[in-house]
Amino acid sequence: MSSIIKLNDISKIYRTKTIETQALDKVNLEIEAGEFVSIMGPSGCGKSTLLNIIGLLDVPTTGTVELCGKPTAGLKDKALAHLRNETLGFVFQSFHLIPTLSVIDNVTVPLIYRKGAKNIRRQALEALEKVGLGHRVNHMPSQLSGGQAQRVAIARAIIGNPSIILADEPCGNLDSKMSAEIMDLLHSLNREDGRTIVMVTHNEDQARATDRIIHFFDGRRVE
Amino acid sequence: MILTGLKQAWQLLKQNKLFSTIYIVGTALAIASTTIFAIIYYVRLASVYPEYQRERILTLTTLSYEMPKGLRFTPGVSFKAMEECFYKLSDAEAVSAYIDESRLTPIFVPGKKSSFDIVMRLADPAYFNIINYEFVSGRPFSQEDFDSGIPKVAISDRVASSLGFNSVDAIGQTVNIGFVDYEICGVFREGSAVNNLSYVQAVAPYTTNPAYEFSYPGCAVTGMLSVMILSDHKDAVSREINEYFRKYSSSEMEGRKIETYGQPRTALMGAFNSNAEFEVDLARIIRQNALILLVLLLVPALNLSGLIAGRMDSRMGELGIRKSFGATRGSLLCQVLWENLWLTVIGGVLGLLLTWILLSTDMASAFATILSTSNKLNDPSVTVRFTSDMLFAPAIFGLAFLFCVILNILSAIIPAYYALNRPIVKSLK
Ligand SMILES: Nc1ncnc2c1ncn2[C@@H]1O[C@H](COP(=O)(O)OP(=O)(O)O)[C@@H](O)[C@H]1O
Ligand SMILES: [Mg+2]
Repeated sequence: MSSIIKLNDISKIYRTKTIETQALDKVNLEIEAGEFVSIMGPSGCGKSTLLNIIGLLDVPTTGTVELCGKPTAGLKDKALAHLRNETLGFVFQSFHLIPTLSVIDNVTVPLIYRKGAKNIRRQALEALEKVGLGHRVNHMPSQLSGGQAQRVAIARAIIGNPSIILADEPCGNLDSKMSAEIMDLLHSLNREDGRTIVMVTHNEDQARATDRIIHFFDGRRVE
Repeated sequence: MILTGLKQAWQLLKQNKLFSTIYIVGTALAIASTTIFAIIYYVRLASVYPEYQRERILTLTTLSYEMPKGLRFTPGVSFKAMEECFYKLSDAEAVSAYIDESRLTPIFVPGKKSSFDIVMRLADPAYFNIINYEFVSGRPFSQEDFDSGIPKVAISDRVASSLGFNSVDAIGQTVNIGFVDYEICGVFREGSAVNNLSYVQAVAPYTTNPAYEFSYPGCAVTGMLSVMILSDHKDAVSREINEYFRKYSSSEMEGRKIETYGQPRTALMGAFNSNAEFEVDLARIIRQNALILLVLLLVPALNLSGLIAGRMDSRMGELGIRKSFGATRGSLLCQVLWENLWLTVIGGVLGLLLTWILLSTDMASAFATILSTSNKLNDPSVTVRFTSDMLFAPAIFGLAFLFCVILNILSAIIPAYYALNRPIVKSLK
């Protein structure tokens, strides 16, 4: 079996003038294509750091990341940007929509950076339909509820048709009803579209509904 | 992407009105100062009315020769030299001699009391073939008028109206200029006083002034006249003139040299230095002016740069988001520059408006005097006007836009560079 995500001996040390924090300590991890994995662990144990490293938003201090069977070490800005654009989709806890862009313009962002993308607006509309927000395309982010904002963020994460979706506490800022909607959405993206999903969560029930749970403690995997 | 840039620039503008206002006003001032500078240079360098043939005009205004006692003397050319050499130049299309009054000349209509001062030039008919005044009515004085020394004068439309004539009525009227009565034969459109080669308000035959035949006793080829030559063959013309002076000095002046200071020189050189005896170092002038322009752009750019840096901070999140969805540093740099360019262009348009307003008022004289080589401009009764073909020349729009782009790049590049090199995770915090 080939893994779509493979981490080899990943360590991450944050050095500031006064302290050194070992956020990750020799983490090994393999995730198969089509898996829905949840990552759990107490605050500050390195979950976000791990997700950022998988998503090529941050570089490990030591160790290597392979995505789709290819090593990513030493890639230049352009190649990294290309990989993020083609294979990865992010969903953040605090949504991270661009406040000066309308809903639809936010959703189109990944396609703006894709060479040869056509019918960008139509694709954005389709993605918004899919998350159930076809009627809110011209709103500004400040006019949306948390659940709606996160659905826009999910539309943005899937518009580029990435094989991997990385979600860092996607329901962390939502009430339980909205959380359930978002989880349904993620499950359907996994089941129907076959996307690999790695999700950080603090919610036992949400985690149990996924294929596999990986526990972290103090920068290390625990069983 | 350019269009979403525009949309976003508009959003940013609405969101941060204080920033945008300061930014736009700062830009407008910077663009106005550089564009005024550009217009004055445009007027002096490009083919503007009435110097449409400027690139082909050569001038010779000052000669010099050594007198027996070792003194140097700097006269013009004599009528004798005009007849023997200049008027017969084989490679010239037109040759004209003229005498400029060293001071402004009073003009009035006989019988009326009020007089005012104008810039007067005495010339020959060929003058009008070199400097192409547009005649509103009448025509220049003729060759016959010139040959017989008949006092006819062509005056500018502004002078005509100051005298109380309309352009058509003026023809045939008598005016007194410098205490000589002239008959008005034509009215031409007045140019701008920024053009020191062509700016005159009245032109009469130099044969009306007996002094034209004067030549200096020690050197009969020198006299009162300045020369303008229309030619595409500067070197051939130069050779012929220098050969003429050389022959004269060897046969009549025991070989004492007649200095021409590298004249005839192009009107371009003349635009930078009205004193022919000082050499023009064009490269140095260009360097100096480029430096002035750079400072005029750099100072506001540094200020705007600080503003942009502040705004960048509040946009770190956006840049981080765009990066995580596949934006390269290069594309984000483009985006920031484009967005900023929209703001800069708004400022630029205001700057152009400000330029036009400033140059249409009395301030125009002040600006022109700073950059002028002609001392006539310093005379308070000479009003500098910028005509609409100078203010609205396509080249000026082009330059103003170029200044916007330079200002934009200078002011945005450093803050953008720093912002874009922040790690994504930090930008997303
Ligand atoms: N940019 C940073 N600089 C310094 N320390 C950091 C930075 N980011 C995270 N950390 C530290 O690394 C550890 C792991 O952080 P994080 O991955 O965000 O944890 P989690 O997401 O599990 O709450 C924490 O101790 C945190 O304080
Ligand atoms: Mg976290």
